[in-house]
Amino acid sequence: MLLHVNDTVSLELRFSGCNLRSGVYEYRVVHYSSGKIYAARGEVGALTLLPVFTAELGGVHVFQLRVKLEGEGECRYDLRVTATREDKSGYARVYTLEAAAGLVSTSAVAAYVAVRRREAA
Amino acid sequence: MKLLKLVKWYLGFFHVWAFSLALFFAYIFTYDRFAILGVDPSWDSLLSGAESLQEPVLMAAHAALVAAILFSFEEGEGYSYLRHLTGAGRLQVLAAKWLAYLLLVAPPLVAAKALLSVSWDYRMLARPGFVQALAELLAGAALQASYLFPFYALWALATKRATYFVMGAFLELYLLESFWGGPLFVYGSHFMLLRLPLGPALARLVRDLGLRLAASLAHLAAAAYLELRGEVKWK
Repeated sequence: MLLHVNDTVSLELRFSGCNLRSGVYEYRVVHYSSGKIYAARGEVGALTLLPVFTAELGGVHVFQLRVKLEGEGECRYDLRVTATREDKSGYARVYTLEAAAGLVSTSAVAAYVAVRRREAA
Repeated sequence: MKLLKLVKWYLGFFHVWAFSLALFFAYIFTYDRFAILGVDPSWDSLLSGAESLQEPVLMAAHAALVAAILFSFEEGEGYSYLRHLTGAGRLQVLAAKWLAYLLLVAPPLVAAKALLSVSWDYRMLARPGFVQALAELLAGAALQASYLFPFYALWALATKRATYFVMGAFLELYLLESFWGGPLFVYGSHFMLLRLPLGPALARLVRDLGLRLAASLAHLAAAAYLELRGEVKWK
C-alpha cells in the first residue's frame, strides 16, 4: 500500500461462528524501500482493534498480520482496513524546493529562447 | 559546419519543446499527489501508481498536435531543409519525423511519472529495478506513441489542412474514445503499455489489439506512400 507521511491505517479484525478461547496476533508493517519495520503484538478477541499505524515515511508499505487462535469450531473472519489521509503541512518544505527547481528549469528554457531570439534578430 | 548547422536547425525546430514541458506539467496536474493506493511492491509499483484517467487522452491530443506540425504543412515545417542539408531521401525524412515525434511525445509522460514516484519515495531510486522499470515505461510510452503515429500522420496528410485534421482528431478522441473502447482503443493500449512490464504488455497488446495493429501498419504504409509521392499541397 502506498502511504504518505502521517497517513494512518487502522485494522479491525472480527471473528464469528466459533468458540474462541484465546488468541494472539503479530502485526508487522515493513516500509519497502528502507526496510524499516513497525511491529505490534497482542491478544485477539471476537472484535479486535489493532493499534493504529501512522506512516513515518512516504512510500510503499507491506502489511503482514499473523494470528494464532485457540478454541472450537470453524472461525470466519472479517478484516476491515481503513486508510486515512492526515495532516500534510509537513510537505510545505518539499513543495518550496520543487517550486524552486521548477522556476530554475523554466527560466533556463526561457533564457535559451531569449538567446535564440536575439540570434535570429 | 554542416553538422553544427543541422544541430542548430533541429534545436530550432524543437521550439515545440516548450509544449512538451507544458504537457509535463499538465500530466502532473492530473495526478493525485497524496493518493493512497493499493500497489504491489514489484516491477514498478510507484511508477505505474502515478497515473490518471485523463492521461491517455492528453497524450493522444499531444501526439495529434505534433503530427499536425509535422505533416499538415508544406514539406513538414522545414524538413525540406533537412533534405537539402543532408541529402536524405523522403523515406529517411519520414523516419526523422517519427523520431522527432517520439522525442516530443513520450518523455513528458514518463518524466511526470518518474517525478511523482521520486517525490513519493526517493529511496526507490536506489533500487536496481527502478531504472529498468523506467526504461520499460519509456519503451511502453514510445510504443504507444508509435502505435498512434501512423493514424495521425495519414489523417494529417489526407485532410491537408491542420485545422480540419486537429478538429477531427480531437472530436474522435472526445466522442469516440472511452475507457471501454473506441476505434483506436487509446485508453486500453495506453494502460496496457504503461501499467504492465513490457513483456506481458506486448503479449496482451498483440492479443487484444491485433486488428488495430494491422490497421496501424496499413496507415503507415499509406502515409509512407503519400510522403514518397512528394505531393504538392494547396494552402
